[in-house]
Amino acid sequence: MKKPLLALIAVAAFAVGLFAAVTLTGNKGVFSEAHGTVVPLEKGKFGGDFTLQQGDNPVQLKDFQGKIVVFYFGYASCPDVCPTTLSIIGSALKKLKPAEQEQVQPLFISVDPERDQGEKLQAYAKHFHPSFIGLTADPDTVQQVASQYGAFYAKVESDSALGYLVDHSSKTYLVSKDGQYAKILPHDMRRADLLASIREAL
Amino acid sequence: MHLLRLSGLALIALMLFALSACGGTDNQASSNAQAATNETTAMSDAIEVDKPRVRAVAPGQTVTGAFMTLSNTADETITLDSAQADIAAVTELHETSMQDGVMKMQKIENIVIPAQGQSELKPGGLHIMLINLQETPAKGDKVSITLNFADDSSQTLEAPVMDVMK
Repeated sequence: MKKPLLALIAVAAFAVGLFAAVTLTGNKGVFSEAHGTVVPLEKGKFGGDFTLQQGDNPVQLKDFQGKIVVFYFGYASCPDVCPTTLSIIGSALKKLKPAEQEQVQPLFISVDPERDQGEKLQAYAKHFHPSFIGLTADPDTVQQVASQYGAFYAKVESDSALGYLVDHSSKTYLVSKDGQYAKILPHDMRRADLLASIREAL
Repeated sequence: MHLLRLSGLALIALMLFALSACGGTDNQASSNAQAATNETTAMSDAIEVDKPRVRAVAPGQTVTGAFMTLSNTADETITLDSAQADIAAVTELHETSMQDGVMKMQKIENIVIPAQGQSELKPGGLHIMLINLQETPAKGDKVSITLNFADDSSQTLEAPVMDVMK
Protein backbone atom coordinates (compact mmCIF):
# COMPACT_ATOMS: atom_id res chain seq x y z
CA MET A 1 0.00 0.00 0.00
CA LYS A 2 2.83 2.33 0.84
CA LYS A 3 4.75 1.69 -2.35
CA PRO A 4 2.09 2.94 -4.77
CA LEU A 5 1.66 6.04 -2.62
CA LEU A 6 5.39 6.73 -2.73
CA ALA A 7 5.34 6.23 -6.46
CA LEU A 8 2.43 8.65 -6.74
CA ILE A 9 4.31 11.24 -4.69
CA ALA A 10 7.38 10.75 -6.84
CA VAL A 11 5.36 11.21 -10.03
CA ALA A 12 3.64 14.29 -8.60
CA ALA A 13 6.96 15.79 -7.51
CA PHE A 14 8.40 15.11 -10.95
CA ALA A 15 5.42 16.80 -12.60
CA VAL A 16 5.75 19.84 -10.35
CA GLY A 17 9.46 20.03 -11.08
CA LEU A 18 8.90 19.73 -14.81
CA PHE A 19 6.21 22.42 -14.69
CA ALA A 20 8.53 24.72 -12.76
CA ALA A 21 11.39 24.03 -15.16
CA VAL A 22 9.24 24.75 -18.21
CA THR A 23 7.77 27.89 -16.65
CA LEU A 24 11.06 29.25 -15.39
CA THR A 25 13.01 28.56 -18.56
CA GLY A 26 10.01 29.65 -20.64
CA ASN A 27 11.29 33.23 -20.35
CA LYS A 28 12.01 34.34 -23.88
CA GLY A 29 13.74 37.60 -23.13
CA VAL A 30 12.70 40.47 -25.34
CA PHE A 31 11.05 38.38 -28.01
CA SER A 32 7.48 37.15 -28.30
CA GLU A 33 6.64 33.92 -30.10
CA ALA A 34 4.48 35.83 -32.62
CA HIS A 35 5.48 35.14 -36.26
CA GLY A 36 8.46 32.98 -35.27
CA THR A 37 10.22 30.69 -32.83
CA VAL A 38 12.30 32.00 -29.95
CA VAL A 39 15.35 30.03 -28.89
CA PRO A 40 17.81 30.77 -26.07
CA LEU A 41 21.37 31.03 -27.39
CA GLU A 42 23.65 28.62 -25.60
CA LYS A 43 27.07 27.70 -26.82
CA GLY A 44 27.17 24.04 -27.78
CA LYS A 45 23.38 23.85 -28.00
CA PHE A 46 22.15 26.55 -30.31
CA GLY A 47 23.71 29.64 -31.81
CA GLY A 48 26.76 31.16 -30.23
CA ASP A 49 29.40 33.53 -31.50
CA PHE A 50 31.07 33.17 -34.87
CA THR A 51 33.90 34.73 -36.83
CA LEU A 52 33.41 35.33 -40.54
CA GLN A 53 35.15 37.55 -43.08
CA GLN A 54 34.09 40.82 -44.65
CA GLY A 55 36.66 40.81 -47.40
CA ASP A 56 39.91 40.50 -45.45
CA ASN A 57 38.46 41.73 -42.15
CA PRO A 58 37.27 39.28 -39.52
CA VAL A 59 33.80 40.05 -38.17
CA GLN A 60 32.36 38.46 -35.04
CA LEU A 61 28.76 38.30 -33.91
CA LYS A 62 29.76 39.76 -30.56
CA ASP A 63 31.12 42.88 -32.33
CA PHE A 64 27.47 43.91 -32.58
CA GLN A 65 26.49 43.41 -28.96
CA GLY A 66 24.07 46.17 -28.00
CA LYS A 67 22.44 45.96 -31.42
CA ILE A 68 19.77 43.63 -32.71
CA VAL A 69 21.49 41.49 -35.33
CA VAL A 70 19.35 40.32 -38.26
CA PHE A 71 20.99 37.70 -40.41
CA TYR A 72 20.21 35.44 -43.32
CA PHE A 73 22.13 32.61 -44.99
CA GLY A 74 21.97 32.55 -48.79
CA TYR A 75 24.01 33.03 -51.94
CA ALA A 76 24.25 35.91 -54.37
CA SER A 77 23.50 33.99 -57.56
CA CYS A 78 20.21 32.76 -56.10
CA PRO A 79 17.93 35.19 -57.91
CA ASP A 80 14.64 34.20 -56.32
CA VAL A 81 14.32 33.33 -52.66
CA CYS A 82 17.40 35.10 -51.28
CA PRO A 83 16.78 38.47 -52.92
CA THR A 84 13.11 38.27 -51.95
CA THR A 85 13.99 37.77 -48.28
CA LEU A 86 16.81 40.34 -48.42
CA SER A 87 14.40 42.86 -50.02
CA ILE A 88 11.94 42.25 -47.17
CA ILE A 89 14.71 42.83 -44.62
CA GLY A 90 15.93 45.97 -46.42
CA SER A 91 12.43 47.32 -46.77
CA ALA A 92 11.64 46.67 -43.07
CA LEU A 93 14.81 48.55 -42.09
CA LYS A 94 13.76 51.50 -44.25
CA LYS A 95 10.50 51.62 -42.29
CA LEU A 96 12.40 52.19 -39.03
CA LYS A 97 13.23 55.67 -37.76
CA PRO A 98 16.94 56.56 -38.14
CA ALA A 99 17.46 56.25 -34.36
CA GLU A 100 15.90 52.76 -34.46
CA GLN A 101 17.87 51.76 -37.56
CA GLU A 102 21.11 52.49 -35.73
CA GLN A 103 20.23 49.76 -33.26
CA VAL A 104 19.91 47.09 -35.94
CA GLN A 105 22.73 45.36 -37.82
CA PRO A 106 21.77 43.28 -40.86
CA LEU A 107 24.17 40.57 -42.05
CA PHE A 108 24.06 38.48 -45.21
CA ILE A 109 26.04 35.28 -44.79
CA SER A 110 26.96 33.67 -48.10
CA VAL A 111 27.07 29.87 -48.11
CA ASP A 112 28.73 30.03 -51.54
CA PRO A 113 32.25 31.36 -50.80
CA GLU A 114 33.44 29.96 -54.12
CA ARG A 115 31.44 32.58 -56.04
CA ASP A 116 30.70 35.25 -53.42
CA GLN A 117 33.68 37.16 -52.11
CA GLY A 118 34.99 40.54 -51.09
CA GLU A 119 33.67 43.62 -52.85
CA LYS A 120 31.23 41.71 -55.02
CA LEU A 121 29.55 40.16 -51.99
CA GLN A 122 29.53 43.49 -50.15
CA ALA A 123 27.97 45.27 -53.17
CA TYR A 124 25.32 42.57 -53.38
CA ALA A 125 24.41 42.88 -49.69
CA LYS A 126 24.41 46.70 -49.74
CA HIS A 127 22.00 46.69 -52.67
CA PHE A 128 19.23 45.69 -50.24
CA HIS A 129 20.11 48.21 -47.53
CA PRO A 130 23.21 50.40 -47.06
CA SER A 131 23.76 49.04 -43.55
CA PHE A 132 24.04 45.41 -44.72
CA ILE A 133 27.34 43.61 -44.27
CA GLY A 134 28.12 40.69 -46.58
CA LEU A 135 30.06 37.93 -44.83
CA THR A 136 31.50 34.57 -45.73
CA ALA A 137 34.52 32.40 -44.88
CA ASP A 138 36.15 29.17 -45.93
CA PRO A 139 33.58 26.40 -46.60
CA ASP A 140 34.26 24.59 -43.28
CA THR A 141 33.72 27.72 -41.19
CA VAL A 142 30.55 28.63 -43.05
CA GLN A 143 29.25 25.10 -42.56
CA GLN A 144 30.07 25.32 -38.86
CA VAL A 145 28.20 28.62 -38.42
CA ALA A 146 25.21 27.37 -40.41
CA SER A 147 24.92 24.22 -38.30
CA GLN A 148 25.23 26.27 -35.08
CA TYR A 149 22.03 28.00 -36.14
CA GLY A 150 20.28 24.98 -37.65
CA ALA A 151 20.60 26.32 -41.20
CA PHE A 152 20.99 23.82 -44.01
CA TYR A 153 22.45 24.12 -47.49
CA ALA A 154 23.76 21.80 -50.16
CA LYS A 155 25.33 22.33 -53.55
CA VAL A 156 23.32 20.67 -56.30
CA GLU A 157 24.46 20.09 -59.86
CA SER A 158 21.97 21.38 -62.42
CA ASP A 159 21.45 21.54 -66.17
CA SER A 160 20.93 25.29 -65.89
CA ALA A 161 23.35 27.78 -67.39
CA LEU A 162 23.75 28.99 -63.79
CA GLY A 163 26.00 26.03 -63.09
CA TYR A 164 25.48 24.52 -59.68
CA LEU A 165 22.58 25.64 -57.53
CA VAL A 166 22.34 25.64 -53.76
CA ASP A 167 19.37 24.12 -51.96
CA HIS A 168 19.01 25.89 -48.65
CA SER A 169 16.80 26.61 -45.68
CA SER A 170 15.49 30.16 -45.81
CA LYS A 171 15.04 31.47 -42.30
CA THR A 172 15.76 34.92 -40.94
CA TYR A 173 17.47 35.10 -37.55
CA LEU A 174 17.18 37.95 -35.07
CA VAL A 175 19.62 38.04 -32.17
CA SER A 176 18.65 40.17 -29.16
CA LYS A 177 20.88 43.09 -28.07
CA ASP A 178 22.23 41.08 -25.13
CA GLY A 179 22.98 38.09 -27.35
CA GLN A 180 20.85 35.82 -25.15
CA TYR A 181 18.02 34.93 -27.50
CA ALA A 182 17.36 34.39 -31.17
CA LYS A 183 14.03 34.67 -32.90
CA ILE A 184 13.76 32.59 -36.04
CA LEU A 185 11.35 33.77 -38.71
CA PRO A 186 10.16 31.32 -41.40
CA HIS A 187 10.83 31.50 -45.15
CA ASP A 188 7.45 33.11 -45.81
CA MET A 189 7.77 35.93 -43.30
CA ARG A 190 6.15 39.21 -44.24
CA ARG A 191 7.71 42.61 -43.79
CA ALA A 192 5.20 43.40 -41.02
CA ASP A 193 6.25 40.24 -39.12
CA LEU A 194 9.89 41.21 -39.22
CA LEU A 195 9.19 44.83 -38.35
CA ALA A 196 7.12 43.81 -35.30
CA SER A 197 9.85 41.39 -34.21
CA ILE A 198 12.55 44.06 -34.50
CA ARG A 199 10.45 46.62 -32.63
CA GLU A 200 9.75 44.33 -29.68
CA ALA A 201 13.51 43.85 -29.23
CA LEU A 202 14.57 47.50 -29.58
CA MET B 1 -32.82 -20.42 -70.72
CA HIS B 2 -34.66 -18.59 -73.43
CA LEU B 3 -35.06 -15.62 -71.20
CA LEU B 4 -31.37 -15.67 -70.31
CA ARG B 5 -30.34 -15.72 -73.97
CA LEU B 6 -32.72 -12.90 -74.70
CA SER B 7 -31.38 -10.78 -71.88
CA GLY B 8 -27.83 -11.63 -73.05
CA LEU B 9 -28.68 -10.34 -76.51
CA ALA B 10 -30.23 -7.26 -74.99
CA LEU B 11 -27.07 -6.65 -73.02
CA ILE B 12 -24.92 -6.95 -76.14
CA ALA B 13 -27.24 -4.60 -77.99
CA LEU B 14 -27.03 -2.16 -75.14
CA MET B 15 -23.25 -2.31 -75.13
CA LEU B 16 -23.09 -1.76 -78.89
CA PHE B 17 -25.39 1.20 -78.51
CA ALA B 18 -23.27 2.58 -75.72
CA LEU B 19 -20.12 2.11 -77.79
CA SER B 20 -21.60 3.85 -80.82
CA ALA B 21 -22.83 6.62 -78.58
CA CYS B 22 -19.34 7.05 -77.20
CA GLY B 23 -17.91 7.05 -80.69
CA GLY B 24 -20.40 9.69 -81.64
CA THR B 25 -19.36 11.90 -78.79
CA ASP B 26 -15.73 11.39 -79.69
CA ASN B 27 -16.32 12.38 -83.28
CA GLN B 28 -18.23 15.39 -82.18
CA ALA B 29 -15.49 16.40 -79.74
CA SER B 30 -12.76 16.07 -82.31
CA SER B 31 -14.73 18.03 -84.89
CA ASN B 32 -15.29 20.69 -82.26
CA ALA B 33 -11.56 20.79 -81.61
CA GLN B 34 -10.98 21.01 -85.33
CA ALA B 35 -13.31 23.98 -85.55
CA ALA B 36 -11.66 25.61 -82.55
CA THR B 37 -8.20 25.19 -84.06
CA ASN B 38 -9.42 26.72 -87.27
CA GLU B 39 -11.08 29.59 -85.50
CA THR B 40 -8.54 30.45 -82.80
CA THR B 41 -5.36 32.12 -83.83
CA ALA B 42 -1.95 31.66 -82.30
CA MET B 43 -1.44 30.75 -78.64
CA SER B 44 0.38 34.03 -78.14
CA ASP B 45 -2.84 35.92 -78.92
CA ALA B 46 -4.75 34.00 -76.26
CA ILE B 47 -2.28 34.90 -73.53
CA GLU B 48 -2.67 38.10 -71.56
CA VAL B 49 0.32 39.26 -69.56
CA ASP B 50 -0.27 41.12 -66.32
CA LYS B 51 2.12 42.83 -63.87
CA PRO B 52 5.38 41.96 -65.66
CA ARG B 53 8.44 42.94 -63.60
CA VAL B 54 12.17 42.28 -63.49
CA ARG B 55 14.02 42.32 -60.20
CA ALA B 56 16.50 45.19 -59.81
CA VAL B 57 19.97 43.82 -59.09
CA ALA B 58 23.17 44.97 -57.44
CA PRO B 59 25.92 46.28 -59.74
CA GLY B 60 27.98 43.41 -61.10
CA GLN B 61 25.20 40.91 -60.45
CA THR B 62 24.87 38.66 -63.49
CA VAL B 63 21.51 37.00 -62.87
CA THR B 64 18.00 38.15 -62.10
CA GLY B 65 14.42 36.99 -62.27
CA ALA B 66 11.34 38.08 -64.19
CA PHE B 67 7.84 37.65 -62.85
CA MET B 68 4.31 38.13 -64.30
CA THR B 69 0.84 36.68 -64.40
CA LEU B 70 -0.06 34.78 -67.59
CA SER B 71 -3.81 34.47 -68.27
CA ASN B 72 -5.10 32.03 -70.85
CA THR B 73 -8.27 33.26 -72.55
CA ALA B 74 -8.57 30.17 -74.75
CA ASP B 75 -10.47 26.95 -74.08
CA GLU B 76 -7.32 24.86 -74.45
CA THR B 77 -4.21 24.51 -72.37
CA ILE B 78 -1.32 26.67 -73.55
CA THR B 79 2.31 25.80 -72.98
CA LEU B 80 5.11 28.32 -72.64
CA ASP B 81 8.18 26.56 -74.01
CA SER B 82 10.87 29.19 -73.58
CA ALA B 83 11.57 32.88 -73.14
CA GLN B 84 14.31 35.26 -74.20
CA ALA B 85 15.22 38.55 -72.57
CA ASP B 86 17.14 41.13 -74.59
CA ILE B 87 19.68 41.81 -71.83
CA ALA B 88 20.53 38.18 -70.97
CA ALA B 89 22.74 35.75 -72.84
CA VAL B 90 20.61 32.89 -71.56
CA THR B 91 16.99 32.91 -70.41
CA GLU B 92 15.53 29.88 -68.66
CA LEU B 93 12.28 28.80 -67.04
CA HIS B 94 12.72 27.91 -63.38
CA GLU B 95 10.71 26.83 -60.40
CA THR B 96 11.46 27.33 -56.73
CA SER B 97 9.78 25.00 -54.31
CA MET B 98 9.86 24.40 -50.59
CA GLN B 99 10.53 20.77 -49.68
CA ASP B 100 10.98 19.72 -46.05
CA GLY B 101 12.06 23.18 -44.99
CA VAL B 102 14.58 23.51 -47.82
CA MET B 103 14.29 25.86 -50.79
CA LYS B 104 15.08 24.13 -54.04
CA MET B 105 15.35 25.82 -57.39
CA GLN B 106 15.35 23.94 -60.64
CA LYS B 107 15.23 24.52 -64.36
CA ILE B 108 11.97 23.34 -65.89
CA GLU B 109 11.02 22.40 -69.46
CA ASN B 110 7.88 24.50 -69.79
CA ILE B 111 5.12 26.34 -67.98
CA VAL B 112 1.55 25.20 -68.57
CA ILE B 113 -1.23 27.78 -68.48
CA PRO B 114 -4.58 26.02 -67.97
CA ALA B 115 -7.54 26.71 -70.27
CA GLN B 116 -9.35 29.86 -69.10
CA GLY B 117 -6.91 29.90 -66.20
CA GLN B 118 -3.77 31.58 -64.96
CA SER B 119 -0.17 30.79 -64.17
CA GLU B 120 1.41 33.17 -61.74
CA LEU B 121 5.16 33.68 -62.07
CA LYS B 122 6.21 35.03 -58.67
CA PRO B 123 9.07 34.87 -56.14
CA GLY B 124 9.20 31.48 -54.45
CA GLY B 125 7.45 29.76 -57.37
CA LEU B 126 7.57 29.73 -61.17
CA HIS B 127 9.76 32.39 -62.73
CA ILE B 128 11.87 33.34 -65.72
CA MET B 129 15.62 33.44 -65.04
CA LEU B 130 17.81 35.95 -66.83
CA ILE B 131 21.34 34.55 -66.81
CA ASN B 132 24.64 36.17 -67.81
CA LEU B 133 23.29 39.68 -67.98
CA GLN B 134 25.07 41.75 -70.61
CA GLU B 135 24.16 44.93 -68.76
CA THR B 136 22.90 45.73 -65.29
CA PRO B 137 19.33 46.94 -65.65
CA ALA B 138 18.62 50.03 -63.54
CA LYS B 139 15.39 50.63 -61.68
CA GLY B 140 12.86 52.14 -64.06
CA ASP B 141 14.46 50.57 -67.14
CA LYS B 142 12.37 48.28 -69.30
CA VAL B 143 13.52 44.83 -70.26
CA SER B 144 12.15 43.32 -73.43
CA ILE B 145 11.14 39.67 -72.98
CA THR B 146 9.86 37.38 -75.73
CA LEU B 147 7.66 34.45 -74.70
CA ASN B 148 7.73 31.45 -77.07
CA PHE B 149 4.74 29.12 -77.03
CA ALA B 150 4.29 25.48 -78.06
CA ASP B 151 2.75 26.36 -81.45
CA ASP B 152 5.84 28.46 -82.32
CA SER B 153 3.91 31.68 -81.82
CA SER B 154 5.49 34.33 -79.63
CA GLN B 155 4.69 37.50 -77.75
CA THR B 156 7.12 40.25 -76.76
CA LEU B 157 6.52 42.39 -73.70
CA GLU B 158 8.27 45.18 -71.84
CA ALA B 159 8.86 44.47 -68.16
CA PRO B 160 9.85 47.36 -65.85
CA VAL B 161 12.80 46.88 -63.49
CA MET B 162 11.92 47.26 -59.80
CA ASP B 163 12.50 45.95 -56.29
CA VAL B 164 10.52 42.73 -56.05
CA MET B 165 9.24 41.46 -52.71
CA LYS B 166 6.29 39.36 -53.88
